Amino acid sequence: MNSRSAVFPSSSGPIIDIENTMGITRGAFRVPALAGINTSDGTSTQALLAGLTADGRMYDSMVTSSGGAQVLNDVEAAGAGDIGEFVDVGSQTLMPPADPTFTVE
Amino acid sequence: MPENPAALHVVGVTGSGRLFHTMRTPTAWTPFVDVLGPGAANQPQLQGSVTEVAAARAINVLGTASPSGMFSEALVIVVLAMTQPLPLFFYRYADTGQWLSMGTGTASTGPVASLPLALICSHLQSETRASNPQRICISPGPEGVSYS
Repeated sequence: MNSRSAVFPSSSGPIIDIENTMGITRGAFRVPALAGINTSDGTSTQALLAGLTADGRMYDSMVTSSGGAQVLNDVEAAGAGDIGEFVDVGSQTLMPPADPTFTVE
Repeated sequence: MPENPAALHVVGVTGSGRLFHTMRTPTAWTPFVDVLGPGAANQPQLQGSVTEVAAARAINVLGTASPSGMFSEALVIVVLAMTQPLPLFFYRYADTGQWLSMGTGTASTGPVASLPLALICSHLQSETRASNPQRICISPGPEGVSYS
């Protein structure tokens, strides 16, 4: 199981270390699940992903192919509800993929 | 009403083996829905036994919930449960939020693999099996969906 999360655009682009970029303090961002929205804003392609912190909190994040994780939300605190400790997560959008795609490790 | 295709769907498994879904709207996250509860898939026999989940976008899904019997795209999840020998597939009907069973799958043949699905979920294939050998992935194939 991954203890850190980094997002890799499939074409040339920076490797984005989400933990370092966002300064997560709740522990490792593990079990990442990349949804890959791939919506171009004219300068970069964006991807969404969700993951869990070491204490089982669910977060989502948005990253761009030009570098940087732009958003990090505690999903439970943002209105979904307080479920408890999550151990696995999956995420997806219904947008068709586009280049560049992303992978996450 | 068609939902925003850019909405991020997230499904999570809890330490107690339950499965929940939420979706990010422009203003907030929707409340968690118990996927296996009576308001969704209504699969009480699976409650408390779920161990893993993966999600994918599926296109041209044949389903019973849609009046047309076909979804141009739908959220599909594959679930591992301690009480089930094979992965279980579910899809979500966006108009009602209902979850419907697609049955079980075998690795590359069998009932799920024979469904006329074209799954686009290459993003899910990044987990390395060496570091996490039980991680499930679902991927497209010429004959339909498969998992590994």
